[in-house]
Amino acid sequence: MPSAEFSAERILLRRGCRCAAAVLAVGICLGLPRFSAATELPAVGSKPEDQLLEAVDALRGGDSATALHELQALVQREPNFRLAQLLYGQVLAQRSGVAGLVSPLADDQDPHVRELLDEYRARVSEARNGPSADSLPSSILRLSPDHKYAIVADLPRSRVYVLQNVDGKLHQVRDYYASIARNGYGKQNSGDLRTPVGIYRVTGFTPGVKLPPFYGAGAYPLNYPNAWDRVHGRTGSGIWLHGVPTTTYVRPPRASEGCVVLANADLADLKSLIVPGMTPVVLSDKVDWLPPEAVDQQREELSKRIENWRSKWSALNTEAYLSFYGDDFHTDDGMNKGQFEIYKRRVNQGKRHIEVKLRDLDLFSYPGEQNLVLAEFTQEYRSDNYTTSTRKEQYWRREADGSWKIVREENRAL
Amino acid sequence: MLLLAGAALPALAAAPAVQEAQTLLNQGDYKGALDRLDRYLATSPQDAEARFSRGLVLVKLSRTDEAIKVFADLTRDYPQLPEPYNNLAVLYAQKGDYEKARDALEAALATHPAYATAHENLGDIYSALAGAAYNRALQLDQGNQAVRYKLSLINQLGNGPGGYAPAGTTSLPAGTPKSESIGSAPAAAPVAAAAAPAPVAPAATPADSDNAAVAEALNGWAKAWSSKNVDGYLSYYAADFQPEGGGSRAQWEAQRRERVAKPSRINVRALSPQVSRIDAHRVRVSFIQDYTSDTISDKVKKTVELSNSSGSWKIVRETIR
Repeated sequence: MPSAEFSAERILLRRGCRCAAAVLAVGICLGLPRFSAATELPAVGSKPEDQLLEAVDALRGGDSATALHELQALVQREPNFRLAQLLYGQVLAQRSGVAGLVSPLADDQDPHVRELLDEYRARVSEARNGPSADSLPSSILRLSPDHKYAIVADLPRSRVYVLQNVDGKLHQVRDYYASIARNGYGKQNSGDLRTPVGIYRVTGFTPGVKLPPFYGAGAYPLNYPNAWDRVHGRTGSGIWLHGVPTTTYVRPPRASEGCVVLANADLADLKSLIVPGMTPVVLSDKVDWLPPEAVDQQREELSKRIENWRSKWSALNTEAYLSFYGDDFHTDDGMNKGQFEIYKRRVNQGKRHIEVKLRDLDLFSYPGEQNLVLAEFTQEYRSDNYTTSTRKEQYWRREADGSWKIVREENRAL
Repeated sequence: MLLLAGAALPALAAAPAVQEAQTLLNQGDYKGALDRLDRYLATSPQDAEARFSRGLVLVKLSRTDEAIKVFADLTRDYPQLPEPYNNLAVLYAQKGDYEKARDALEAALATHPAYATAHENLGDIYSALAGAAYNRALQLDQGNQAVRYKLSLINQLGNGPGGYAPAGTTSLPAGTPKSESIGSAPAAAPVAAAAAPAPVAPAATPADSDNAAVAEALNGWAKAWSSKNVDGYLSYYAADFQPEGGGSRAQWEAQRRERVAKPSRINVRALSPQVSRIDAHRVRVSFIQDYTSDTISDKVKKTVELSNSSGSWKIVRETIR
């Protein structure tokens, strides 16, 4: 039976719809490449999605000839783009003037039809309500210059964004439609068919030729479960960004077992942007797009706080140093706050002087959490009898009194 | 139904030999017609009318590939004539190559925008292409479902209920056919599945009183839906109603609440209901659901099963074909 709710059907089944406002909104958003002048990236040609949206736009304007032209070219280019085929079928059926053609859209009980309509809504909603070109995800407070790019996924909106870091300033450079897990996001357990929410990094790359065809152009594994996931006892593994089999252009918005799945062309496009072992991937339950200066205050606050922590430690002011740790702090090897205090007092007592230097600081407002910030930095520790450099992940939480405290930290080898 | 242009080419005066061949063709003597044309063309190889007629004869003789070549050559030599394009399109469509068929028809219409036959054929080609696109959209290339849109496609090309082909075309006087129809021969048999409803012979005739009560329930259901009375609409579904395609009843109900309430205007009619009995407490009703809202309108064939085990007739299953 028909489901009148879908704007998809509205434009699919009717010509000359009266939603002028929607036309305008789509028209404005279409075809505006989100590129900053600062980028040295190669220009992206008209993407299949742009073509699809141009056809949608034409249909909204009652111009089914243009829509037909666009869609015809699109299905020739991407015959496995099922949503494009559906729209193409609709326009053809409409133009044929043949009565009684039964559209698949008439059967909204059909799961395949529903999936295509979901994809349609995700794409059109992005074109209509996507971020403005100069806004940034508020989750990235600071990105050190050694990261040229960062990836942010808006999981409920089926979208992956790439931000380019030019001299510490971020710019939107790419965005792709993406499919996530069947049961949505907020992974807790192995097999719950959810995509994790959190901050990860790409740990490697496996090209498609070394994988089953299911993964398409290749796979970028992520380091799920991370330190914060382990705090929460989250289980599961094998969360990847990967492509699709050649039999399809994309997968429906909710289709994977936990991975984030992109069109093969989009996954290939990431190749020049991702640095395995480095590139941060923020999997978000909600992305707030704000003007860049909106996070200035929080960045300054945290940066000062971390510098303060460093200087107290560096000055061997152990009690002041320990005051930065929250009451429920645990080390990754199982010490609680009290045990950690005893340990640190003993270590620091044995030192005549130490020097702690931090560099390459990243700060992220942690997705899915209130008042939690992940700080990552390279820590160079030098004492009279010991020298080491590590990459530290430090989780800071704002306490009820407004102060930021460390609730978890973890070092990994550089 | 695709229409093959079969008339004398309008701009050209046919040679006597060609007129003879056309007479033979109309009399069903295809061999004779072909002989006559071949002899004539040996001396006048460029005669468009003769070549065109030869193409038609080859179609009659089911020598499709040769006919395609004849019409294709004509489109190249006489690009201003729309008829060869049209016939080329029909033959491509017969072979299932709807893209080429479309291109040929669009070429015909480019020179003769008012060429009615090409317009009609293009409509049919579009509907065939639509069916193919739907199949690709839903990846219906195997199993039962695969046939779904192919059937509606064949239905449209063949003897569908749409009434889109001018009724008079096939019954034009045989002597001067303006055009003639080519049905789509392959796989035409199972068309009924997607065609307009054929009356279903009831397994057993329900008692008249039940019949009336079932009809009342069905009309009440359509009326509640039309007036966006969501609770009333849902009250026509049994507690153990099983949504098609899986999913819980609660999920289904939530979705229905949203969708029934959403449009600003809905009109639903249950047309031509056919009632058949399943057992003492259950009947099956097939009907055409005619749905119109402020945003869309369509007709689908729907079957519902109703049970009166609770004392009144309630829907326990609902399927769309």
